[in-house]
Amino acid sequence: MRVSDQQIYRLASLRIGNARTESVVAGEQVDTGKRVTHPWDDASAAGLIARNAQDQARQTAVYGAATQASDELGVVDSAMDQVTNALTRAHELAVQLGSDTYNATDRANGAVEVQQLMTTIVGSLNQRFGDRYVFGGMLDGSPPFNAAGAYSGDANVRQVEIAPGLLQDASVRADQAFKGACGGVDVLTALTTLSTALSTNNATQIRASVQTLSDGIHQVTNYRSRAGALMNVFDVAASTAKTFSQNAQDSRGHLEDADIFEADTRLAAAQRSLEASMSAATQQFKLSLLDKL
Amino acid sequence: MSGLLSLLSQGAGSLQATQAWSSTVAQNLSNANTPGYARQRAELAAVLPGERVGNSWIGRGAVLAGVTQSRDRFVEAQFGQATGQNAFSTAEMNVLQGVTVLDVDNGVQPALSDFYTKLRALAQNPGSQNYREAAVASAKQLAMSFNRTGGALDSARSAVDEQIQGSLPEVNQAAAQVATLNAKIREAKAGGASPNDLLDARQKLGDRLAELTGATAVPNSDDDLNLVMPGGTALVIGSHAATLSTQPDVTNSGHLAIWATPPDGASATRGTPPPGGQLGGLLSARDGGLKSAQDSLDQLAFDLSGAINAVHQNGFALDGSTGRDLFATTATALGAAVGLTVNSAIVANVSLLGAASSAGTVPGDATNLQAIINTEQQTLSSGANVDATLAKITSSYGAAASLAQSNSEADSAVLTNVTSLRESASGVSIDEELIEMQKAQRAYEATSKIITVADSMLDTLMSLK
Repeated sequence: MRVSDQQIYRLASLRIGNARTESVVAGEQVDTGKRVTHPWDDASAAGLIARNAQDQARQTAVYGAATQASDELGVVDSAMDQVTNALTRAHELAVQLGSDTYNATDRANGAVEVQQLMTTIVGSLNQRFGDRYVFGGMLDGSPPFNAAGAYSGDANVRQVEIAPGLLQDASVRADQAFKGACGGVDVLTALTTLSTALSTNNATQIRASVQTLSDGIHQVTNYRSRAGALMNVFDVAASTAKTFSQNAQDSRGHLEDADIFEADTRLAAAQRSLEASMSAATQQFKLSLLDKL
Repeated sequence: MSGLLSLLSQGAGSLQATQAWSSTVAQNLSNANTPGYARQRAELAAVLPGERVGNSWIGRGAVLAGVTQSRDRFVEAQFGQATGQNAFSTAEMNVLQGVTVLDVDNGVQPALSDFYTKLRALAQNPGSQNYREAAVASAKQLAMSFNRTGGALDSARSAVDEQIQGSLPEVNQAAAQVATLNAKIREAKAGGASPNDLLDARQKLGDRLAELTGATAVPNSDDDLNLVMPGGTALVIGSHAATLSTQPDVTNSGHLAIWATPPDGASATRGTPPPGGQLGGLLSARDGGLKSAQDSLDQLAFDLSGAINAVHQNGFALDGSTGRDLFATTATALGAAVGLTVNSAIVANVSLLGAASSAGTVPGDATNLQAIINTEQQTLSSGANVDATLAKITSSYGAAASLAQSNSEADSAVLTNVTSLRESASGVSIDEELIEMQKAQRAYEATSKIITVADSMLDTLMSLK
């Protein structure tokens, strides 16, 4: 084949250019650790990376929500523990002061303690998580219980996402747990009744309160157990979401990340190729009849 | 005596021929790296008829028969097409790969993720002003990312318009020059000469037009360079050239369409199919990959905002009001991405975000907010949810750009091969020319000797007494 000078220079330029491009591409992959930066680097992988990123974000958000719901239920559990303790003490007082061995003064003193227990319980039931009142249902912007134990929250239960599109109850209905809606015991009224019976030295009423308070303690304990079960659900959901998020990240990594060793090898090969192209070009340029004539 | 004088004359004539040979070699050496130059050869021939002496014919030296160009017509025919195809795919690739708003870590996807993440956070505490601020800010960010991505795609398409408009004067000028050169070359050839430099200039313009428009040569008996664009639109016929112009296409958002006024001066018509070469590649990128991505993004912005608004209208704000849209956009999908904004009333007062399902359940009710979150999985007009639709836009664009890159690489390899063949046939080899120069120099020296010897012989003759 006849070779012209333009051919020599153009092909040398082309080969060096190609080798340099290969070197730069491999170098970029080694530098960034990524093989897919632009959609055209791998069109199908780019689409999957976008979906994985979305999925990862979604699972991370679900993890955050589930963790927060679990923490909030932790506050609920703590509050209900305090309520249970207060009710247990009130039950003890009712059993104790319902005995005929105690006089009016003893019972009046007991009434004072029951009032204090009432204050403690109302305080516990007005617990907040962040700026939300955890027992207010959806009316959670203001304290749901007043000092007299009247409830101003609603009967709604908050729901939190435990998986994309899947909701789970995340609160305890205070109207049922403490106010006896749907046929239960109104523990706050029971306390008020006990307090009144103690202050009026009404032994019969005091003794009658024993069973009511016992039922109330049982009722609160049941709802506390339910809150504990919900906490478990959210803990499991958080753990699952975290795993899925990690899986999505791993999957994205498999699609997006360059094989560093392979990229490094290609970089070395490309650099060697570039050197060889330059060397060959130099040799070709050296040989000219101009230098011989 | 007359024979000796004839010898002198023969030497002088041959000297002229070898001088022309040397000049041709010098011309080749001077243009060794001139684009479009085809090496020339000085064709020397014996002078006819020879001189008859008795029964014998004696030669009368050498004469320059002509200076010819080395061009391989087969390769030349392939070169135009290879140039046009390579310019097409390279231009398309450059445009498509010049847009980075759909990159993996760029574009709408991060903002979309953040929007739904912030809504999920707000669903934990729908009465919180802080969370509401964050959610509305993420909605603004989402709208802005649609604006930015849609705007970048639109800008890229407009930039292509500018590039097309910028190329047309060169196309028209080159076509007119080819037409003029056709006339000049015909004239020169009629006089018996081979106008090699004019041929080179015309071929160079033809190559450029092949690159710009994909025009290929159609041979005719007059040896004109007639050029026809893909689809059969004539660009140059003999000494007449077509004129390309642009007009806004109302059916394509006002982007420019290319119109051609034929060489015969008839009224302009829209080029159907469009030209090839660089112009064709630009049009293909603008109305192919870019348009498809822009249309899909517009449709996604329209569908998503519509789906979210439909739910949000049922939601109740903290003040108990209802019936608001969260996003505002265009009445149709056209331009929806660029036109997407967040309801200004909600931006001004984040408590108007409709998270609750009734006025009586604010502030803690996130039921409607949860329904908005569920739009993430809602099937849109694309037949898929927002994630899958966005992934499809990214993949489709990537596939278009990747295909253009593959085509460009393949076309570039073809062009490299054809260019090598052309350079092999028409390019100048300095080594060859130096040898030719040596040959010409030796021939000149030898011919000079003829004159010296003839002169000496004449002296001898004249000195006879």
